[in-house]
Order: sequence, then structure tokens, then C-alpha cells
Amino acid sequence: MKRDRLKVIYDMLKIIKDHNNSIKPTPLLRFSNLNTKSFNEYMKEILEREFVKQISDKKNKKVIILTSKGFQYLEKYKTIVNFIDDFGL
Amino acid sequence: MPPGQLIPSVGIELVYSFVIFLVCLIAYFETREISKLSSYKGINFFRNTFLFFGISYFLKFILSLGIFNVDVGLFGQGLFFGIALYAGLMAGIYLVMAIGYKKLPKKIDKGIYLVHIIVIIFALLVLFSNNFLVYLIIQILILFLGGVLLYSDGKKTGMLIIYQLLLLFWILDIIEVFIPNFFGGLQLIISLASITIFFVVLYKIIKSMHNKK
Repeated sequence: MKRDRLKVIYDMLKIIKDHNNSIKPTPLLRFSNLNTKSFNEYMKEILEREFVKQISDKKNKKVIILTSKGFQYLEKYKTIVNFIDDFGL
Repeated sequence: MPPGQLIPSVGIELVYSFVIFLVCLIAYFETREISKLSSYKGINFFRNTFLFFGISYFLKFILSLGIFNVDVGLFGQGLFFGIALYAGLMAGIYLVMAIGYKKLPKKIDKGIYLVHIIVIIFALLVLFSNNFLVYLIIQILILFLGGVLLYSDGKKTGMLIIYQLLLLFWILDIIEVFIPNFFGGLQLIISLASITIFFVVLYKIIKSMHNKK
């Protein structure tokens, strides 16, 4: 079944959280089960919407971490989905 | 009509419009967080429905206060009724968009500014031509379109009747504004039914927002 946009974003943020809130872009792509084109589009979206940010780790490698807004999304995801369902939106 | 008879009906109208205005305001702000987080079009349209219903009922409240006993001038009256016509129509349009946006053209949200402009022009035309029947017909068409979109999607049965009643009672309200005392003694029942429907929607919103399932 095709995942909708909200679920894909949830899955990506959950992967980051489950990796101690720090993951490199390549493993995130692999775990996300998305093709590169879609991954880049979603990455762009979650960066623009400030759910995640890219920082450099101790080895000066680029890693992606969740922001407080990202954690908030994870927390509210079920409420959002239930709301859409309850109101037939 | 003797003042003694007028006061209770004005009082009911005041309370009724103010309560629905408050309900709409709560519904709008209660869904703010999930709307911002999800950027989901359906939720945004749903919220805007209550924003415009809220504006409409606030204007109705102002009208019930008897503001036009004070001289606000022709421009003031025109502006007031123009905004009321515009907000009323936009509430209906947003509700139809919320429940049926998946079936509407994909870029409908990008053209929403055009919809606003068309509705403003339409409201002005109705106002200047004094032809409220056309306005009523458009509202009924929106109700009909909403019905078609709802019935064409089997998943939406839970809210089907509530959405239809929301639009239906809204139309009855419009008739009462344009043709005062049109429903006579039934107006109280219509007002109570309207309030009940808005409270049901608000209850469902609050329940859904705080449901931890």
C-alpha cells in the first residue's frame, strides 16, 4: 500500500529518533524505503518545515537530528491521522 | 411590535449568535496545532470553515445588537453586509473543499485567492443589485455539491449528516437574516438546532484532539 505524505514524514522522523536522534543521510535514505528522488523531496520538505536540521558531528560528518518541532510531530501524528479519519477530511 | 415582545427575541438572537461565534472560535484555535504541524489541506480548509462561520455569526451578533439604529451611514451598512455575504459564502465553500478536496482539481488551494476574489465580486453584485435570491440559490448549490461529494465517498458516513445539517441550518439562518420573521415561531427551534449541531461538531473536535488511542 502506498504511504501517504504524513506517514512518510512520520517514518523518516521516527527513524532519526530511533537512532539516538542522529543519523547520516545515506542510512536514512536506506531505512526510509524511498527512491532517491522522493527522499530528496521529503528531505527538502522536513528541512524547510524545521522538523529536522543538519549539523556536523564530532568527526565533522553531516548528520540529521530532530528539532523540537520534529518531536512534536511524532507526538501528534496519531492525533492528526485520527482527526482526518474522524472528520472524513 | 411592542417593545416587551421584541426584547426576548433580540435576546435569544444575541445569545445564539454569540454562542456559535464562540464555538467557531474554539474549533478554529483547537485545531491550530495539528494544522500547522501537518500542513494538511483538508484540515486547513476545515479550520477556515469555522473561521468564516465565526465571522458570519459575529456579524449577526453585531446586527442583533441593533447597531443600525445608530447611524453608520450607507457605506458602513454596505461594508457590513458585503463582508457578511462574503464570509457566509466562503464558509460553505471551505466546508465543501474540506470534505471533497481530494476529488477537486489538485491545485485548488493555489487558486483559492481567485475563489476569494470571485466571491467578493459576487457579494458586491448581490449587494448592489439587491438580489438576495441569487445568493440563496448559490448557497443551496453549495449544499447540493457538498451532499454529492459526501455521498460519493462511503468512508465519510460518520460526519455525513452533521455536515449536511450544518449547511442546511446555515441556509435557514441566511433566509431569516434577509427575510426577518420568515419562520415565525419556528425560529427558536431552528436556532436551538443550529447551536446543537455546532456543539456536536465542537465536541467531536475536542474528543478527537484529546483521544489517546
